[in-house]
Amino acid sequence: MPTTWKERLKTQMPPDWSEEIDVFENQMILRKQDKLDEKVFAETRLRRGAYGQRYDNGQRHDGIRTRELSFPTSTTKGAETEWDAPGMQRIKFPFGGMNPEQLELLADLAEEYADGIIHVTTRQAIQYHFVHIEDVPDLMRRLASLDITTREACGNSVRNVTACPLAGVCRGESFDTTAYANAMFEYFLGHDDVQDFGRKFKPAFSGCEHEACGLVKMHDIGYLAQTRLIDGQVKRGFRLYVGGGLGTIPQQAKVLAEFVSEEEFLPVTQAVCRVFARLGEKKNRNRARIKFLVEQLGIEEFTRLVVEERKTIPDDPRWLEYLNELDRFTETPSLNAKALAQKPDLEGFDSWFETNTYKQKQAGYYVVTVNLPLGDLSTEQAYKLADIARKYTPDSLRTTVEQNIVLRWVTEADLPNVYQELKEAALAKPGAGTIVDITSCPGTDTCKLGIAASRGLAGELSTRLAAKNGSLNKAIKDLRIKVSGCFNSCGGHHIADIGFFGNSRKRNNRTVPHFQVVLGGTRKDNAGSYGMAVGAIPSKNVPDFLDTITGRYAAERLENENFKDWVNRLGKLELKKVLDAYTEVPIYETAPQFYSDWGDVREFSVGDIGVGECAGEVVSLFSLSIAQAEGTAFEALIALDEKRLLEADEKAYKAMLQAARSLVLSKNLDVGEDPNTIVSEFDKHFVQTELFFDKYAKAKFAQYLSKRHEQGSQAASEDKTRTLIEEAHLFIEAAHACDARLGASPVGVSA
Amino acid sequence: MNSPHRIKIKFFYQDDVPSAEQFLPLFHRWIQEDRLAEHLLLDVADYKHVPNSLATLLVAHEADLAFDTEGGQAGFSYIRKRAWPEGSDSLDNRLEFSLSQALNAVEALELEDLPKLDLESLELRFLDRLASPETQEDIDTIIEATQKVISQLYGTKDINICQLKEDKRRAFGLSIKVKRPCEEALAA
Ligand code: SF4
Repeated sequence: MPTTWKERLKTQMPPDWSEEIDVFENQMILRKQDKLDEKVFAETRLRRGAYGQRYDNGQRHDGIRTRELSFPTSTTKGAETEWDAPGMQRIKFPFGGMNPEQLELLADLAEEYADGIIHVTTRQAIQYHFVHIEDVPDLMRRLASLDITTREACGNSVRNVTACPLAGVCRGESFDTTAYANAMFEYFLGHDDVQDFGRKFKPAFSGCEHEACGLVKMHDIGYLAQTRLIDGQVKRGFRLYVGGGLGTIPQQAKVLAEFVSEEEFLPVTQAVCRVFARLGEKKNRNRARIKFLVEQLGIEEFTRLVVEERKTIPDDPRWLEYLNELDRFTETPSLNAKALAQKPDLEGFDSWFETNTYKQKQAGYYVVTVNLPLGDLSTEQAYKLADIARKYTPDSLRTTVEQNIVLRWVTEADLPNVYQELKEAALAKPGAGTIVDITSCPGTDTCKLGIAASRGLAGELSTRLAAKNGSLNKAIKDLRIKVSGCFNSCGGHHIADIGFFGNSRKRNNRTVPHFQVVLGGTRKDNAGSYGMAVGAIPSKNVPDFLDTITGRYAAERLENENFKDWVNRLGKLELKKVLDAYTEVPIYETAPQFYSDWGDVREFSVGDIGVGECAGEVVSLFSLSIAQAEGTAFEALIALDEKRLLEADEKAYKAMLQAARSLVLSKNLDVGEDPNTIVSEFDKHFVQTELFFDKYAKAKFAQYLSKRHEQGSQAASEDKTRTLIEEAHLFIEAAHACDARLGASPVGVSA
Repeated sequence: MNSPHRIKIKFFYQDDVPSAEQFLPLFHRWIQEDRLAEHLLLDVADYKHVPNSLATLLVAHEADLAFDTEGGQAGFSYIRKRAWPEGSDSLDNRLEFSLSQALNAVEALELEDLPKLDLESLELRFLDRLASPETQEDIDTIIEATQKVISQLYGTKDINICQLKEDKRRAFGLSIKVKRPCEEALAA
């Protein structure tokens, strides 16, 4: 029996994914030996979705004092990031799609490598917390065996591609965007043009203009499905948005093109990526998102540059190939549609049906929303949900940006049974899409940047609201709350009717957790407008404030007046008065609870805030790709030790190719992976120009590559193979030296 | 058969069950007081909103400790996940080590003003599917090793062990009933 996951899953992983994971594992070894720069390793790790977590700098305030966490391993996995400190692992699920088998695997992994919890993020991805870095390669292998990747789930690259969870079944969509979202995911995963961004890049797809599922206007790039009649034929395409984003300074995306056809959407996106990579800010991470570039250039100039860039990109067959596969994503129901004969007499069914089901455009079928508290699901629940999905749907599950999961294609007749079975798994919580369905980022629970306990507050509000759900006014029920642990807005507070983000205030000589109140944002119209911050109140006063503001809204609103309009009508002065009633902090001696946060009994402190990794370090494209070459060279050594000489020879050669390619990328981003092209481009730009030449050794190192390239693969003696590996190492060193001479890639943190 | 890299041991509450809420201040205090020898206590995670979960979790470098509602039955779990002592690669050693560490944690918990655990009833799971037994022979080997370790720790041979035969997807597990309470073992 195989004794490692690597052996056991060898034939079940896509070969290139398997190899990438091996390289990452080797980079871990190199980092532990201090042979790989910690900043380069950090960005490499982030690009594999392995993220830092609170207290990973080796310090934690326990409520009385700051404790040093003396981890056994002295190495770091990034600046001020202890090797042994638990981390977060993010996993990509393009358009939130998953099948029951994948969900079961997520459950297995949650208990074997994390804390038993599968967490759905606000961008349809999955996160585990408290994961040890040493467990990450096996975790990735097991995911890869079911076609799931963590690649570029974090770091300065293209993040998870989100899309409406109703795509394909929505009554109001132009067309099903699923296949397009997937095409974008596949095309850009690991693509050279997305490796040199100054910051992350988040894409979103929406099937319609007016709903809130896709939220394209708050994304770096957004695709709004459109059809046009061209030459008598209905053509599919997208209105293309760029430069949206929340964060500290929220921006509405601008329209780059009213209609980009389905044939053009990948190359145009590629052109956007190239312009962003070339002109986007790299040093100041606070201004490195594409929204700042769009703002700086203006949308007209930005568009002009994209159009120019588009003309220069060499054709790629994949731009159109995906169109032959659109059917792959068309779901067909597993059960025949059947109407519900009579209303079931089940306790709680009616209220659940009202909020947690959606009638599909396909007659007789419903989408069922599983409302997950704080986006969390236990392993046991996950197995049961997988069973329900198998029994009642064509294996169709999707995560949502509201941190829920939906089951699609449930027949109307099956709804009572599905409700019953979900209820048995404690998954039939009603109120999906209402005020009790609160989204929250991780906040101080696990995020290094968190200031206040967003999850603690969200949990508290949700519990209180659920308790009085039955008596809540409809206008209040329809409101949405979103909470972020700090101004970075990962919880999306800007687009909620009532948003909160964590901060702190000094009161009575102590630090008190507070939440800034943001009112009147709009989720509809794809995140149509952002709310306004009206002031901060102590964390412990938020529930009472919420009662007041929602109560007044219900009582004072004009007929059909929405929350945003009511807030605007009320005006800032009046809002401030409402807020002022809640700003007071009693002295510690009379109300010590004000000095700790929701769900955290420790006395509040901001001493634990660390340096965030959201952005990743600004590490050059060269540094990242040369790190891969180093990992491959290390693999060659292992193969040599294990007497796999042919493999060792191949790996050493590949390491040189990767190193050469690392340099070539600075001259020709389209170099691709073909060895002949790499070698000839390397020759043209670095050998003939003598840029690669060492002062004393001259062409010697370059010849190592050309010699092996010409010779081809051969079973050599152990000695010869060892020599080749040494040459590969020297070649990599020479590449580093060349890069340094060119001054192309300062490795370091931006300001 | 591989030795498991992660072993979970769960003791159960019977009639009198504490709440997940009670474990939050308790675990935070354990960190402040460094209550668990040979463990680097790191953080507390609150999952009381998730049914059938490790509802309140004390995360250490070496192990997780939890007020555990999995399977719908409340209990206290010790999950050994790494930092196995040198030379404890064998199944017997891992079982012995994790069980004795679990009992140490239980001993600390017994000092708290909380309902008492039923120490005669416990569950053992290999949270490592690579180490799941493949054959009946493997299962017998694990049961035998567990029997040996439990009888040493509890000072009795009157032990019933059987494989948990629930959902196949669940990690391999054993149900263990000890006829003699282990207070003496704890006191020893
Ligand atoms: S909003 Fe702040 S606290 Fe929340 S996840 Fe983002 S950076 Fe962390």
